[in-house]
Amino acid sequence: MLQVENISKRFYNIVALDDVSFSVPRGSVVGVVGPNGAGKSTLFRILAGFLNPDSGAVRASGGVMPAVGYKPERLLFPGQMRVDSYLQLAARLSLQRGASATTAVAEALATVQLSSAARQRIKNCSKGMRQRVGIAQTLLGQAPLLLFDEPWNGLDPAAQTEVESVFRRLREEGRTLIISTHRLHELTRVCTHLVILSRGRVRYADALFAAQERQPQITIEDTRDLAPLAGILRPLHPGVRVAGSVVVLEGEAMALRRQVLSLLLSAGFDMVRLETQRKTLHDIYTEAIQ
Amino acid sequence: MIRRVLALAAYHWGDSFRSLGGVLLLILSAIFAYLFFINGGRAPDVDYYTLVIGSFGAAATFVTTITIAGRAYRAENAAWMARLPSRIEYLAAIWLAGLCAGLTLQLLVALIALLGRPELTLVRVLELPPLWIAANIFAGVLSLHATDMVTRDWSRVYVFSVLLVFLFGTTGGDVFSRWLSGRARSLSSFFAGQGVLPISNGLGDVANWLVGDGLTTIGDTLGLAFWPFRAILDAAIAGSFTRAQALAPAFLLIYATILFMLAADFFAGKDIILGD
Repeated sequence: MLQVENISKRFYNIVALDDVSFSVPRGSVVGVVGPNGAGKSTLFRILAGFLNPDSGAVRASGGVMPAVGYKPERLLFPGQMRVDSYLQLAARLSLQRGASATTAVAEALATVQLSSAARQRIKNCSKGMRQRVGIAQTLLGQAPLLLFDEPWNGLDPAAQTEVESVFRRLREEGRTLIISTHRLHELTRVCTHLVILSRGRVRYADALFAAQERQPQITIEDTRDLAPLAGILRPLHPGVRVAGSVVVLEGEAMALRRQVLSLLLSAGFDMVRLETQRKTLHDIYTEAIQ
Repeated sequence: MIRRVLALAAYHWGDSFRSLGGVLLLILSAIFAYLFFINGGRAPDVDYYTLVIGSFGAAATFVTTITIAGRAYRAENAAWMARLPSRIEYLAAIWLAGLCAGLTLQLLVALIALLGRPELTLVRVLELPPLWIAANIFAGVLSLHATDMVTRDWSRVYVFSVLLVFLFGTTGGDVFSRWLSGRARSLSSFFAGQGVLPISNGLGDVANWLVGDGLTTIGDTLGLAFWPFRAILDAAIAGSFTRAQALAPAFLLIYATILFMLAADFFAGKDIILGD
């Protein structure tokens, strides 16, 4: 759907983005993560059309940039407006002729569970409610590309779960989402693709599944110390590690699991745990930015 | 596109009068009308009133467009801007909102004038919009260039410097010609001292021309750009347009179109960094 090609952006002598490239498949949920100052917000402002890259380009399939729903990180609203008036204007800017703005607003409010606060002035809303107004605004108009900058900020646990289910529903509808956040735990549950930025450069850009499948491991835990067997196990493969009562088989060494198990059992050891582990988003993130 | 521009323009128009600045403008307009049409300010004929109301509209549009553009270039509007397929739609909405706000203030002044001056008829007031709308449109587009929203790098300085050169050429053409003549005469003396007589003589002739015929020529040339304004003023005072003067509003609209295209180019190509 979108192809981000070699984007660079400087602010005076500060490099915000340096040769950033990745692709956003249609219907995917792309998580953009990285430490503070990595360039995530600059990337979002370029995708939303506020900033022009110094070099590189954002190309859309078909050549025309799709309509964008954008929830900025810092949500500021015209405070004197009511929630429904604010959303009505957003709807009128996005809907096709003949579509009912009132119906679209009611649906968006129901989606973020804010129907009861429709006639409330935004300045009287709590931080969490404002966050939901921002998300509702982004959902209006059936924009095929939705940009969410820190969507979980200020939400209580129940609302966070609700937002996750909204994201999953949007993905099922075939809409493409790009989410920037520091909440790796929540992101793992919704994103299909991952872009890790650090100091303006892409450290990882691929499907999340691909990252998780990269270097999986099997952990075998025994009741006793396995040090006496280390001399037999380690020479089997460089991917075999022995630490205390745990044997870890990484990558290709996983193929040796039967051999390792029979060695342990024949030596009279009592196995208590055998676990195949995939990498967590946190592991991938930590490795990428180091 | 028209639906989106109208929706945004209506929002910004309403928003401008809900703000403290907007209310202040309404009060100042009412005071202006009171001073000119009720408390003194008597004039020999009705044309004076139409001239005052007409020029007030252009000035008001200049101010309201700046005010609205300032409010529209805040972070709270980021979501609107991202939704539009083109930034130019946003610019058009701001210009339209400024024009409507200016017309609102002009209408207020016209209503007070109608109430305070029985000799000013409704027919004369209704003649105002077709006569002055071009000036209002031009003032609105020009004021866009004074805003942070449209300014890119030094564009504000360039646009208003060019305007100042034309203005100075019209009103202070003699000062400019005399200054230029003095420089030419100094150069002429320098070349005469170096023995380059052909150049020295040529520069001497230019210096003499500048304080003679040149004075009028430069003033007229630079002043040509302001002809539409003068033509509308003259027609408003005379109470009717000559055939040539009738073209003046069209020329103003051409100026406004050029300036809007320039503003659109600046706004489309700049990095938008919205303030709080």
